[in-house]
Amino acid sequence: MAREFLLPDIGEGLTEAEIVRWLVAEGDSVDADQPVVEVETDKAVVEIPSPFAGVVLSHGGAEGEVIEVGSVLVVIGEPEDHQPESAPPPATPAFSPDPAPVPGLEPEPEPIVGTLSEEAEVLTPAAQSDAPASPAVKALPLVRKLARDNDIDLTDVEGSGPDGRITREDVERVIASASVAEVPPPPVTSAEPDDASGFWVDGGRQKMSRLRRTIASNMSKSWSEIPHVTTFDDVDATRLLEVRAALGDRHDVKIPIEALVIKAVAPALVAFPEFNATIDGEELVVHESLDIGIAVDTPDGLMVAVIDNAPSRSILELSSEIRRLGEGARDRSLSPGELTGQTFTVSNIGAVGGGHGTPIVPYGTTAILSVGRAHMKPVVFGDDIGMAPLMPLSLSYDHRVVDGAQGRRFMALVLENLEEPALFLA
Amino acid sequence: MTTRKSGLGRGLEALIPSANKPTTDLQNRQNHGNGGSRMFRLIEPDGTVNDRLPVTVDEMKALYADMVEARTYDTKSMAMQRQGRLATYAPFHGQEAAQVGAAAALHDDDWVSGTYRDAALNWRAGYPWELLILGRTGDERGGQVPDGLNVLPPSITVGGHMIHAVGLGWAEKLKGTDVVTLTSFGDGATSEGDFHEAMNFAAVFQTPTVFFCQNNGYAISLPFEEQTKADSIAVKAEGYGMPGVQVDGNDVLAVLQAVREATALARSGGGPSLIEAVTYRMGPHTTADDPARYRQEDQDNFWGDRDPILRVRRLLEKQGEWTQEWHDSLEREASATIEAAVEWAESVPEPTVEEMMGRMFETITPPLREQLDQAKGEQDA
Repeated sequence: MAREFLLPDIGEGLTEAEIVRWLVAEGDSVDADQPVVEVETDKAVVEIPSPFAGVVLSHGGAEGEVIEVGSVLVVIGEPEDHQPESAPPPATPAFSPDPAPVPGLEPEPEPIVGTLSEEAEVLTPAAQSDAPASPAVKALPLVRKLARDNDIDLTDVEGSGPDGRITREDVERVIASASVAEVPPPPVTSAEPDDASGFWVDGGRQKMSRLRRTIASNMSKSWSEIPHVTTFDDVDATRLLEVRAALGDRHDVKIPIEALVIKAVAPALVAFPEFNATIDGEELVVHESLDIGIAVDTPDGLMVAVIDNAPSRSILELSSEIRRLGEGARDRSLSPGELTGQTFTVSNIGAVGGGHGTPIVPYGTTAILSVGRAHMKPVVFGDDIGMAPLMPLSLSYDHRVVDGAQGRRFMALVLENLEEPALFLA
Repeated sequence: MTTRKSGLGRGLEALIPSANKPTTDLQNRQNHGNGGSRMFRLIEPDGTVNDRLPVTVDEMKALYADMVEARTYDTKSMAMQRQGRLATYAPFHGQEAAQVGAAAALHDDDWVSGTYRDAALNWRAGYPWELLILGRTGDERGGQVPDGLNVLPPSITVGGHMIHAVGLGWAEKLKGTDVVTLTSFGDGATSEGDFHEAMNFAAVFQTPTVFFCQNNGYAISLPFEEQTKADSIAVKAEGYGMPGVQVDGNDVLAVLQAVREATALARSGGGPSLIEAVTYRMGPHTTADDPARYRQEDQDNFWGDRDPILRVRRLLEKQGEWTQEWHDSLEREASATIEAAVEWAESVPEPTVEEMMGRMFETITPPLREQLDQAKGEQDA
């Protein structure tokens, strides 16, 4: 017989969790206590083990979906309960050919998928739909729960008790009239596909992941508050690439271009400390430590990992640290401390073939240097024209802090160092 | 190996190596407790043995089996919490040697007063798994100690139970028994005022109390080096006038031996002592915590290799006493035991409102009566 597993409060007082990853696919079998899904709460990413052994009949939500505590997380049944995947979303629970009631199921069985997708469509924070939104309403917790369980907004209910207190009978009356007068309302936005696997395929509307929402909010803040100026240049990377190759050969390791760029930028940050600073109201806070952020492209979105006191490390140390942070960002294993607190950022857009661009200065810093991919281009040497690998550089900075001339001076020093790496070995 | 003199049977001080031979494997931030040179250890992390062992092979294997059973309970509890079957749970994964070793050194009628993370200690001291699980389901009856068992229910309040333990020890002393009291607490608890009061009172009144600190490196998220400026917890004993010793808390035999020495001292009228067992909490503080936010993976890896069960396995392997089949059979037995306990705990009917309100006093007090009436009203509404 199929059994529902409701999302428990796995922290203390949690109301919802985001489904990060299903570890057992629909139709696959699962052992008792075997992790079935990974969810992210306000507090942590945790694996939830299945309470029963059996076959996973249906997931309670797609990856990326936020579901509320107490709603169906997964339905697990005997192998014979399994329905073919081609079956359309059923009006009655597909997981139970057995007419016997499913333990734990609400009195009015609703299609699991339909119920959940309806919840997912509501883009307001979950807490807002709950009782605390209307402190003026007077009702016992038990009555509030009854209303919540039946999707009744208590502000619409007239209280017959003392001081307008809403009683259990009041709510039951509303439930009774609703079930007579109206059929359950259709989903709010009609275009929403029930099939959660068609995440981006059919257009439509979908809540952004936590990471994407964070990126969006940070970008808006930077873009709306910081007057950006971007200055472009190309550097002859002949020597830089030679040094990189030589180091790589000697130590049998691939040197990421960021490692060299960080070394080349460090003297400029020391010479022009306002590039390593934060605006705080009417004051400028100049940072002593050069904590360099490196932009990491991950499947989930861009992350900035931070190398504390980067210039104190050797190029080899930087290389392995950059590799470690890159991998850590991609498998989301970095601690928040490793993802915050940069004082200057280097973005290697060349890794994906980029040239010049106008990078956005990360909020709380003054500048960001974007490095593109070097290409062989014609270059004037004295009276001759030759060929050289030119690497595009784009430096964006906060124009409140740095004037144009100072920006050029900073860039000139970076260029000089990149053209002759011997200069930054000092 | 080592030139260290045997510390067995010669009192707590003798456990501290006289030669300051640095132990090289606990260093930097892994080295909470600053152990190194003054830490007592019988089994090295690689399973080699430092000294004459205080147990027989069979006893060694029994301790191993106990640790496996304790871990099975811990793993099951974590899973059950994630399934909504238990309330918040504080795992002790990594601290099995400290708890099993300490309990194994006690006499049947010795008192144990521990924390919410001491399920293995309490179990090994006689508290049934069934009641421990029942308590974590939120049923207060899990905290009703079986008659004749001198184990207090787990203390949720940090530090307060150390004072209870001193009081129990004092009472035993006044009664003229040779029963001793062991109180277990964490590194964070040593910053509570209760620690000071308990330590001082115990020393002044020479109560038969063993202060057993499991220094697992973190008080929730606060690392040891921010907890105290002292080199160790053990050195604090000196200020109270009692012996203190730091032991490798992931070495079940070192813990066993140290607690034996400490209880022998207390039993013979020698008063209290402090044992700091340096260990590591492999899991989160509780199920509502995410340790990835405040500690590094390499720390976990470092301590993973110092796993207390793995260490005994390495020792037994060297003596040809460990096989995979044997270990598997232990796991199977442990799993059956724990599953049966879970089944029992989950079959206990929920308490009625009257039971919940009526257990504390022989005659229900007026405020409780009022709450009871209100609760019943809501239930019937």
